[in-house]
Order: sequence, then structure tokens, then C-alpha cells
Amino acid sequence: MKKIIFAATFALSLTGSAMAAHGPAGCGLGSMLFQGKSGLVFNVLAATFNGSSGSQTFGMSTGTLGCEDAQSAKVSAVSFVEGNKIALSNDISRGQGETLDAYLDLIGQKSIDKVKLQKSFSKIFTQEASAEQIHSNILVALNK
Amino acid sequence: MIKALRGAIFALLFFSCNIVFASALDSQWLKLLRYNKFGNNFESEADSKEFFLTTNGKYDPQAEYEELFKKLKEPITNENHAACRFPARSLKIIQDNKMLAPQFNKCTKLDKFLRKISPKGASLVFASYFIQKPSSAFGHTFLRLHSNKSGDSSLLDHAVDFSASVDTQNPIAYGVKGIIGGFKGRFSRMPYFLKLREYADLDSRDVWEYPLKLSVQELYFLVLHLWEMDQAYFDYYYFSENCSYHILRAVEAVTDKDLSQHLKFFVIPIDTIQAMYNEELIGEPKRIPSQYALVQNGLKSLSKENTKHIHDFYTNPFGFNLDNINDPKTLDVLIDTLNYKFAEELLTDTAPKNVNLLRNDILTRRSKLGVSSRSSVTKQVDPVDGHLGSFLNVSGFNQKTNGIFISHAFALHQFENPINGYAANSQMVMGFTELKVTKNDIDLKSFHIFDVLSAAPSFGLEFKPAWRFSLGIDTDFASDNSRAAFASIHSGISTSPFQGSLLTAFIGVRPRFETRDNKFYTPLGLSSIFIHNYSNFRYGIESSIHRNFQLKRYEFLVRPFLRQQLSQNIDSFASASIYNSDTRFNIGATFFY
Repeated sequence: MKKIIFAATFALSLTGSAMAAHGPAGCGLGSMLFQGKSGLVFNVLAATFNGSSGSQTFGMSTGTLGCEDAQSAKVSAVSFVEGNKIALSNDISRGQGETLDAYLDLIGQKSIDKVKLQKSFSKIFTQEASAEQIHSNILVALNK
Repeated sequence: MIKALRGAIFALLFFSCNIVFASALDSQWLKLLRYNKFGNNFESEADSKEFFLTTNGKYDPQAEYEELFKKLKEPITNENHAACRFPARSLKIIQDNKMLAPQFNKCTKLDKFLRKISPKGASLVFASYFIQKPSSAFGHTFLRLHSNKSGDSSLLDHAVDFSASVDTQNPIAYGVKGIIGGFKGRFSRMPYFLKLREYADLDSRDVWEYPLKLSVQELYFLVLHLWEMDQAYFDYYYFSENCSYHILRAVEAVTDKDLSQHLKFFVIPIDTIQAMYNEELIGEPKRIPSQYALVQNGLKSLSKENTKHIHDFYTNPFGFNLDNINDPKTLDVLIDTLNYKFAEELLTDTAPKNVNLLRNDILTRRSKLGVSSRSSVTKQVDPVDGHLGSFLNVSGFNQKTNGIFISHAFALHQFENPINGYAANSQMVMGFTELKVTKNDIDLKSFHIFDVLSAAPSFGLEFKPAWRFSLGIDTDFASDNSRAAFASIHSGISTSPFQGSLLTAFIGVRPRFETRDNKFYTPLGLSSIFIHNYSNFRYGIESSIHRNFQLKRYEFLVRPFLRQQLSQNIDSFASASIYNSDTRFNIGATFFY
């Protein structure tokens, strides 16, 4: 049950960029099977199908089945922040960590000074910041 | 680099290699399409029509081969061409027959898929035991595809998982459908980080990554084969054709190893890992510690005073004065503790505002204290070094008459077994059947559907009750040693009085129905386990006393035991079992297989 909630909220929290690119049901097996169909019913069906096994809902973020076309750099970065918000904030507050490294790898900023990000922690993780905001706050902190 | 590798895959798709397979019915063809041979007949495990080209494909490997061979001579005009749908088997036919390959680059979806996966390696990943959730109590395996695009960051890789589409919330329907193959199982792909968040952070399970030793060609075959799997579904059998089984079969299909020969009817995840280990298919694993392990580990590095602070914080996070803590190391443990305590809320983005505010406050404080080295994580025994998943107990006994006890369980671990590679202080026994063999008689002594014990120390960060739950048929307590259906529900506290020891004190009921007099009894009482693990040697005592109010008597059991592990899969024992009416001595061994 916990897993399903996790999956569902993760799916629901993916607002904006990532979802806009392939419709509200996201991608994954469900949307593959129901591709070509439109309208609310099919989207719900597709989402239900995705969610039915818990983990399949996860297919939608950084893009797997049927998501290839949505794979712009920004979508990947924002989705990554969305799915790793807790770990990423831990790492930035500590100035190190695997999740931070992966994120920097993803945005092509592997060699930046991580302490710089650490010092900007409170500017990056502002209250109730969305994944998209966190991502752009990081870019601002890095002067990119 | 990426381009070059993708080029290599396509080169592989375009040109036939030196490997030539003799027949259409050779083992790789059969493995790729999951055919099993029954006498002279074949049947594929795959249950979806889309997985085959011919209507009778599920039963006819020869016709499938010939049909694909024919299709490969037709030019590729769209995505639905058989070569685009089944690139791995196409590749095999091309290689077999030294054919000129069709234009695979016209398979745009496959092309995009390969570009994204950009494989440079693969791992078998084991999410270890999670006793709180029965469906995960055996662990879980899936694949991680290492991508050239990810650099060194495994978090950017993809995971491939086999799971059942569960379509019911009803636990009974779930159990029944799971056993009889009522759910459809499919492969699916997802970002690897989601798997880590789910298992290590949310469920607090250790995750082990075993690198797969595949040649470049085998790796590409694997990726292409997994693409084909998008069109397959399999009736999902919880005990046999389950997640671990299908992951193993997918790996088996692209190597020349016969991995399934190591399996028995019941497939336990650890057995599939052992099979790959025995065939030298996996290397040294990397462990990703669970959120709970991180906290425990951090606590070990702290002073007494700071440890107390962490405990105080855990008990009352909102009343805690953060000014108490000024060093980064302790604050790091505090952060891990907070993440552990509110794991579900934080990871599902449902944390109340005060939790988010507190967390933000702590992290902001931490960000002002610079970088500090993280304490290294305590080493754990590699699960592959543990015993296999099923066991057989054989012991001679001396009672009124002499004889032999033979018992078998298809899974997994008794609390008195060697704990290497298993969750300490726990038991997961399913399908336990015990026969008592004497000179003139064979008797079914007991059958336990399950007997589960969860006894992690109760007094850690928080108070956690320990519990034991079993269900089945047994002769132990019935009035005249006749069989009685019983359930046993006990709960209480668990402690570790010294290193390597476990002591539990439980209270509970053990209702039973006796066929002898068609009466229902509900004895109420206490039970306890003590065990000390000392290297390969263990000793302990299990005891219980219940008051049977209807029969106005006490029913007790005292069972002292000694155990010595002889090898990875053999554990010898001597025990005495003292009941109301009987005492018996056993000497024997547990064989894991």
C-alpha cells in the first residue's frame, strides 16, 4: 500500500514540463497500449494500467516507454530533482553526495565547486519550492 | 563514444558474426522465446499472442523460426516489422544463416531506445529481506542497465523489473491469484533511482548490486532481448515463475549458461543469485545501505552525549533544541534520523508543514558547517555467502520409541539457522511439513503454512514490538498428541543482552481445534526465545507456557538446542523437546538446497 501511495503521489507530483510532453497519463506501458487514443477516459485507463503494479508508474518521469521524445535536458533534470528531492537536499546541505554528483552529471556541471552550492542552500530550497524552482535556483546559484 | 557504441550495436545488427548456431531448435532460440520441452512437445512460458509471429507460436519453435526467417527478407518499412519487434531473435537468425540484415536503422523506436540505454554494462540487483511485508519477505531481484550516458552515476541508469499487475486490494484474492497464476507479469523499465528510493529509503532495505559478467555481444543481446519483452506477458506464479525467475531467464537467454538447472520448483530470489554466482556470471557486489542502516551506522560514531541527543530528537523532534548540536557529524546523523522517521511522508511529498519546516531548518544549519567526511558503513555479509532458500531437517529421535524426524520447508530461514546473509533476529518459514518415521509407522506430525518471527531489538530509536505469527496443523499441544489445527499469535519485546544474542518475551494466544473431541481451545500464555550466536556455533532455548482454561491445565514446551554450522548449507543440531506428556531428544542436521 505504501508503495502505491508513493507511486501515485510521485506520478501526481510530476506537474508541468515532464507531463505536458506526453499527456497527463505520462508514459510507460499503459500509454503504449493505449497510444493513439485520446480523451480523459483513455488517459485514466492508461494511468490506471501504469499504476496497477505499483512500480510501473515510475516509468513516466525521466522517460522510458514511449517517453523518448520528451527527453529534453530540462525535463530530465527537473524529473530527477522531483524523484530525488530529499536525497538531493541532504547532499547539498552537506556539500557532497552521490545524488548531487548524479544531478551535476546530468546538467553537465560535474566540475563545479559543490561548496558554492552548499553555501546557497537556503536560496535553493526555499519554502515549498517545486522541483522546477529548485532546478532553476541551482542554475542561478551556479551563475548558469 | 556513445555514438561509437551505438554504431557497434548496429554493426552487430547489420553484419553476421562468426557464431553459427546449428539448428532452429538449438538452445538459444528456445531460450530467447522461453520454450520448455515436454517429451516431444514444446511450450513457451510467454502467454501473450504478441510475443509470437504465428498463431501456434507458443507451441511451435520451428514455425516461429521459419516465419521470422521469411520476414527478415522483406524490407523494413515501418515499426511493426518483425525485425523491429524482435531484434534479438532476428539477430540470431541472421547469425545462424549468415544472412544480410535488413535495415534496422529504420526501426526508429528501437533506435531511440538504444540511444537512450546506450549500454556499457548490467547488474543484477537484490533488494534484501523486508519481513514487515509478507510479499517482500523473500527479497526481490531486478536488473540495472549501466549507461554510457550516466558517467559514474548509477542514479542516472535504467532499471528493468519484472512484476505482477496486481488488480485486487483483497488480501485473500491476492494470495490465491498469486499462487495459481491469476496475475499477469510483465517486464518494465524505470529510472534506477526510483528503485533505490523505494527500497533503500522508503522500505529501509539494503540493496546489493552484483555486476553481471557479460561479453559485449551478450550485453547487446540482453538489451535487445529486453526490448522484445515489452510484448510479452507471463502468468505470474508467486512461488515459481516469479520476478526473480524471469529476471534469471532473461539473463540466461543471452548467455550459453544453463542457469535454470540450478533452480527447483520453488524459486527464491537468493537461489537465482546463487545460480548466477555458481556459473561465474556475477562479480563482487556493492551494497547500498538502507536508511535505517545509515542511522545505526552514524550512531556508532557518536559520543554518548550526542547519541542521547539523537534519541531525544527522535522521541520529540519538535521540542528538541537544535542549538544542542554544533558539529557537522552529529547533524548528519540527525538528518538521517529525521529522514528515517518521516521516510514515508517525505518521499511521498505528504509531510505536514511542521516536518518540512523543521527539516529545512536543520539542513540550513548543516549547510553552514562545511564538508565533513561521512562515517564509512559497517561491512555486511554478502547474501551470496548465506545459505540457500529451501531446507530439509533430518534428525534421529529418542522418545518412547526411536525413529527419524524429516521436515521440509520451501522457504527460507529459521531463527536458529546461521544468520550470515540473512536478517538477524527473524524467521521466515513457509510450507513446513514434518514427518515422524518410526519402525511401524509414518505420521504427519505437523504442517505449518507459515511461521514468521520479527524480533529486531525493541529498544532502539523507538519502541518496536517484536512478534511471531504461525498457522497450521500440529500435534505438539493437543491433549493426546493428536493433530489439531492451530494459529499462534504472540507479541512482546526483544532485546540483545550482549553481542550476538537475542532474548524475547512474548505474550499471546494459541487457539486450536481438536478433531478428537471437535472442540475449540484458546490457551493463553507466555513464550520466550533466547539464542546466542558465537561464530559458527549457536545455542539457545525456546520455551512457552499457556494456560488452557477449558481443560484447566498448563501446557508447556521447553526446547534447548545447540547448533554448529558445518558448511555454507549444512547446519548440525542437537535438541531436547520437553512437553507436558513427553520428552524427546533429537540429533540431526539442516540441509539447505
